[in-house]
Amino acid sequence: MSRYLIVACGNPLRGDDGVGWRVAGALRSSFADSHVELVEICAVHQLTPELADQLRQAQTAIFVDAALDLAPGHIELATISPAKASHAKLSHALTPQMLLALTQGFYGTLPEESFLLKIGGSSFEISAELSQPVQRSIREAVEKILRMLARRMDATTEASGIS
Amino acid sequence: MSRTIVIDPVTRLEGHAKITLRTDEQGKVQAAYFRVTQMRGFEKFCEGRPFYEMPSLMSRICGICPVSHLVASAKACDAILAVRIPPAAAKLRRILNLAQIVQSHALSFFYLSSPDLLLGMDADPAERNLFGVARANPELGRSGVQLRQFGQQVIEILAGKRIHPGWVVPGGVNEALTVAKRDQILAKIPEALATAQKTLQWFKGNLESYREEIRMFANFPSLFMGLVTGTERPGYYEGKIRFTDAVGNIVADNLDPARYPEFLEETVEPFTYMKFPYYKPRGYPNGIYRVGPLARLNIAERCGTPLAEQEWVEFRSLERGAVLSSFHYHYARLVEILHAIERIQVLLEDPDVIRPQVRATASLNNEEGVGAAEAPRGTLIHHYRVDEQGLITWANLIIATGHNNLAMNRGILQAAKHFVHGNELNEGMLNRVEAVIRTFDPCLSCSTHAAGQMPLHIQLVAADGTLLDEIRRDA
Repeated sequence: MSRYLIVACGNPLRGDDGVGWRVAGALRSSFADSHVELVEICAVHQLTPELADQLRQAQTAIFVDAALDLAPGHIELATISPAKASHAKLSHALTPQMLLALTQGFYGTLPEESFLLKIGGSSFEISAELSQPVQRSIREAVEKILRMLARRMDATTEASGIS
Repeated sequence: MSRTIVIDPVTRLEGHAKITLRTDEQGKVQAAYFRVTQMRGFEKFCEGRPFYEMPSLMSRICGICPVSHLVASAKACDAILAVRIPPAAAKLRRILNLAQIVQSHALSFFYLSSPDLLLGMDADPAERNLFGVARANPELGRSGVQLRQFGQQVIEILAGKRIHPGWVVPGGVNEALTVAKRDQILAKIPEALATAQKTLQWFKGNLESYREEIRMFANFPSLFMGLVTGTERPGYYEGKIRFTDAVGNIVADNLDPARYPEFLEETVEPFTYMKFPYYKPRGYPNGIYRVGPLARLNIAERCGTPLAEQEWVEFRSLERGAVLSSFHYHYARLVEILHAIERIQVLLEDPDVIRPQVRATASLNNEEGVGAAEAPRGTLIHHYRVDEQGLITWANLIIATGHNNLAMNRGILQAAKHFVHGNELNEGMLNRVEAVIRTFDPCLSCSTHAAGQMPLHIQLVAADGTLLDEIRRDA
């Protein structure tokens, strides 16, 4: 069972909206084989209710998404909690907070901690390319996630007495 | 005063649409229109592309049922190549198509319609969604997650990814199934079967509480159409077309899908981008017919797998002839989920399925090809013509959702006349009109491709209802 779940969300054919997928790709090649079983990385176009099944099994969840409310290439990492109430009539586009609420509702459980890493985008037109600021931000985003996971993995190793 | 009531957008369906209801002076509904407001245009912009690109290109029509377009398109390309694909490839395509039916039906039943079914048509809209389902019956929500996941995982294991896989190609599939992957899917079958059965029991146990909806949700005589294989079972991947009538009689049988222009005709109306197919011998609009889960269970003489067979017999006993209420699309969807899982198991246990020969190769041998299969929402037909270089010169897509267009429009009129009273509107009334559309589970992203054919009728109407001006463009 994977203890760390990374969910990248976006459309890789809509310019900067695909930055999550690029971060996910870079992360996949960053983990040592010994960590592959511990970390699950998925890249999706939209957050859908099926992800609740993966979330319920995760200790830590990190969502990665492009954002309109940040300067291009700017990164923000924040803790998130389940949404209190929802008016999501369409059920097509869940936010990470809604997805956490569904997980809690369906399974009565949640990851111990959940984060949303947002990367500001500037162009969301049809394109497989990222804008320059967003392209440059990928490395920083990957390093943030790796550092966060490394701290947790180290803590787990110490707690279990494994050297 | 007469009134126009607009439900915009129609929620919890695939794509964008609105419903317009017109009432008379007494507030009684006189007319109802299901207006599909989006335009896709795949028929036009694929022109000039090489035919072998079509399966991948056409699967992009939809993120919910890409596999259906992949399969129908590949079959049209098989016809252009004039090949008979290897048995393993045909069986693998069948499994993929069945997995698609499971995941799409699960989405429709659990994610889009279960809030109405569980919480009631009059429930507070703020509560009438998946979050409300999670609070009221979390097990039902988990069942939806599990069945949708089952279908998606089968697609991913076979075809490499859940959405827009490129595995189905002209002539077959591009990779054989390994024993390990086969066993991985087989291991998931028992749990999926148990969940499907449990959901069916829950739904059947609640049928009595939907009595009014069963009576008034697009419940009228019509023809039913679908593919039948072996002269009796629903043919999800292949077969001949059968039409039956409201009492269950066969109206036409053993029709070659490739000769669809002989028995199907399409027309257009000024209020929607979606075309209106009809059964040609009966004309428009008397040639109204329905497709999809309800139709498939109505036209079949048996189901062919043990658990689903029992459910099918019970389902057909609802009425003496055909089951006419479109509310029972929900019921039929659940029976089909069960059947599809059983059928996937049967196919995987066939030794052919792991044979390495999975693709026939040929060059262009026909200048025209038609491919048909049953998509979750009904019979899907792709028809292409190519030039000597194999470039597409013309394409026609007859989409499952489109077949039901006449029935959906007639259905909302029936429901609106019964439930909506223009002088005392409430949300529950309008939700019932929307819920009629949801029974059909239309996929509007899939169904609006005709370009240059849509007649336009623009009216400029004053506040007092006086017609000031109008422009009409005929098809």
